[in-house]
Amino acid sequence: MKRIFILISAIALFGKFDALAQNDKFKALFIYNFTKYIEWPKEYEQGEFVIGILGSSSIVTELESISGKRKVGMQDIVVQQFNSVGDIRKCHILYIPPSKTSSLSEVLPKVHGTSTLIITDAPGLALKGAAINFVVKGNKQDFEINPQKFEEAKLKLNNTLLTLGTVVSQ
Amino acid sequence: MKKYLLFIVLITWVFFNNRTQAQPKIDIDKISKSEIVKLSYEVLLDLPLEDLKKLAEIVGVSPDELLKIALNQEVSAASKKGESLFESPLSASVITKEELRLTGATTVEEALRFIQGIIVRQETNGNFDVHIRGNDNLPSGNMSHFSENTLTLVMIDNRIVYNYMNGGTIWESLPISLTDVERIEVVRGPSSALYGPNAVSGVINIITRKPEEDGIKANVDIQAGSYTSLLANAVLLHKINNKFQWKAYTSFDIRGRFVTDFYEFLRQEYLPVDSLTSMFNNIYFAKSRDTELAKDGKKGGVTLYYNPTAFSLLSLSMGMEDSRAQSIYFENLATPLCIRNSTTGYVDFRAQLKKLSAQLNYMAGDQNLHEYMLKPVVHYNMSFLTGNLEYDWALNNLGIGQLTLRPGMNFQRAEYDDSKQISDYQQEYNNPQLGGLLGEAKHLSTISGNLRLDYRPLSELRIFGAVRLDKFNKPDKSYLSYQGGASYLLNSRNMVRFVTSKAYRSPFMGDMFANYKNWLGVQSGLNLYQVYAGFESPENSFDYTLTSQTLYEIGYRGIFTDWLQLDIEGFFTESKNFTALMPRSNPEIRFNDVLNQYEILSIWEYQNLKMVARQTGVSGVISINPIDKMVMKVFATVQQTKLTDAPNNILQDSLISQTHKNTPGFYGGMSLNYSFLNRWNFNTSLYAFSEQTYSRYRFILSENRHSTMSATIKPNAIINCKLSYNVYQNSTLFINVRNINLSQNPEFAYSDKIKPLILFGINIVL
Repeated sequence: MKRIFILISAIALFGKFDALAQNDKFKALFIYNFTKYIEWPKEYEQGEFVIGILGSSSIVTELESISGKRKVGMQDIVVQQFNSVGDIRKCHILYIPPSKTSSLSEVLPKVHGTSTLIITDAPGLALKGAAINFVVKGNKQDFEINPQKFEEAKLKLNNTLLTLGTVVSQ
Repeated sequence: MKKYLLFIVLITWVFFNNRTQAQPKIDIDKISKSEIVKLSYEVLLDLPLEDLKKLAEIVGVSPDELLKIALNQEVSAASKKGESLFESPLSASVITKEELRLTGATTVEEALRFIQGIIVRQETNGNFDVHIRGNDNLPSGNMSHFSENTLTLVMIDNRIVYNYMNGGTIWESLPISLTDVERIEVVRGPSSALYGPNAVSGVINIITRKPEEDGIKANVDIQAGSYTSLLANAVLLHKINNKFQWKAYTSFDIRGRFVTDFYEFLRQEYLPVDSLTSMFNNIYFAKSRDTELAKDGKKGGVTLYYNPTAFSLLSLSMGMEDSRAQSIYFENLATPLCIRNSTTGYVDFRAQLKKLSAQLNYMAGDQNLHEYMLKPVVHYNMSFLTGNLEYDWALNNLGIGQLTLRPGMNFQRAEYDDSKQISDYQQEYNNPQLGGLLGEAKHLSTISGNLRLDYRPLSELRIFGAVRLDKFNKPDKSYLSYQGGASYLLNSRNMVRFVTSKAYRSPFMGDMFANYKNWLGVQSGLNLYQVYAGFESPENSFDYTLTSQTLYEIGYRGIFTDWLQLDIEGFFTESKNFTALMPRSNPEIRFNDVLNQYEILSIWEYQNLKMVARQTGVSGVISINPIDKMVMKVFATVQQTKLTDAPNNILQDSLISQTHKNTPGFYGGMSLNYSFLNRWNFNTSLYAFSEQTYSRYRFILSENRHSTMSATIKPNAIINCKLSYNVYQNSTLFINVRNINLSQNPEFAYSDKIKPLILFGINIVL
């Protein structure tokens, strides 16, 4: 038993360095690329570009890798984790991981009136208030866009993005 | 020193070499999956979104990633409100549809082997005994059905599927298709405050799929193999538009037994069915007429969905099942196995209107707990009606943190009636003396009110509480269940929690209304009868106090890295007021006014026992993603159950304190999933438990006295494997081998020897 534990620990400690969660990596890349097709209001063009994450998610590591390498316009990218809905502060993008899906109904009133782009990661949420929602379709990573939510958040959307995702509307 | 210098030079060289390598040019149309995986961020960040999407499509979402997603699932069982499994204050676990598919579990019960804290023992091919944290076979030395788990509440989409005749779950009758299961949520520990009576040792909630993807989707899984096993599961999901969706499912589970002999209590050996003799040395009448049958279940159903607005949902589900299974259940004093059958239908209406949720469901049908059993008849018609209403009241603007209150009300009504079947059997066997356990229609009902509180004074601290008051019609009393605790996030990757709760088991028809008189023969010139008396019977001299369990639990969850997670809990439970059917020490001579003669009555009464069972234990699971494409889960429970005031035998001559040995002191296992060569997936799992001793009732005819007999279940390790080949898209061909077990020992006392089951199958995803 002891040997098995040591073996497991050894595999766990040394076997992982090359392993990257491809799906998280692509989601993080998608999130960064979305910013190229979206224009935030003037007051959001000052200071840092904040990508907020509600709760814990392995996507944080991937986003942090990007934040060290790229900017959004002239703004440095900062990745900020919020433990709970109450902790959410002003941010440009708020990513809600699958494990926090049920918080969406509490997040929406909290960010109402701001220009925070809500990105979710569970089926059906583009119709429940998210502007962009990651979905897995036929084993492939895809995303849905709800243009109405962009309007409500005063975000200007480049129509090219609409051709790359699946447009949903209520 | 030289070594260090060489090392620094080497590192510097590797660093600069990597930095100065020319960025490769990418041909999006020709690049392979393995080449994409090697691409650096520097390269990927220069690509337009359009190209990135193409690359993501080529890479796809692999099984190990789907399993990793499963490790951080959302769970609604814990607080009846969706939340992160990591942050759940309760001992909650989830099995996702990906785990179900990849592990090759052929039933929900078998899938429960992948969760810590659940004892799952196979009795016959595809029929399992399931206990959360044990407390099984209490009191020991009693009838077969006291080994059945009556302390766990099983639900399908929050719809209760408890068997109110004798307590427990008729697993093979659950109207589900494995391809329609989205996830199985398990909460260990008393949870009546959240779910109502019978969630004493925990809750198992099977959540089914919803048509969330556009268009028509289907999943068909067919496998066939040894022991004439044919397992077919299918689901069709159709999202017509954002407002209307529907789905339909069907399932067939047909299996033969691993062996055809039956264990006989009298001679204490496995024998052919025709030679079976009861403890009273009579030829066993209620013997199985279908000795090779293990299971034969057919299920089907549809659900219609209507979403009037984004935050509203109405759904109507209906379905039917027709099932037979040969496993250990109702006592017959000859052999542990019997065939029970069930034909039931259900209608389930659910409404979510913003913060108000309502559920109303009705289930009815015909069930026989033991085919050919006439003494007593345990064949009956049943119906179960239940309704819930809950309101989610968020009070986040009070300036005291986040506060949610969830008041609710509920009613339940179970009606069981064996009068028609008794009359039918009296005619069929031309015997007017035949009687049933109940003899007429009986009902048990509950009205309850509950309140849940979820409060976060600080973002790191969550306080959770629930109370529920149930007013029962029988016994005519109210019981208060509670559940409370707190979880504290040390940081986003470490969480500690504490829970205390108390829950009650509801009465069931058998222990409340049993009213059965069985003529045994003539003794000393007088008719001799055996009488089973439930608490409501005029022959019963006891008051009923509901069986309860109290829990104290501490837990820790840690995400050490994104590839190593730990979930561990330490628990102490105290269970008391178990009910049991026990004989009075001496038969009584009475005058029968109707027959105008004296008779001898051997009276067995349902009664609460003084016995208290105290459990102490630790459960844990480590989830590891050691290398890319490999996901591993290792889990175990170590526990001890101490009994005080336990009856030494069925006559309760004396009360003793002892360690209860029917619950294994160790049980657990591991599962490992590995995807390779793009299209292959290998999954293997191990489930093991330590030695147990089971004891049950025995009548020694030669000495004319009640006694006990016992069997030792040796330590066992069961291995399962599934190898799948991805033919196209997500559709796979596979070989699924279950129960690789060198000893082939029975996993449950006196049940069948368990042999390997080899299945070949196809899983089609459209």
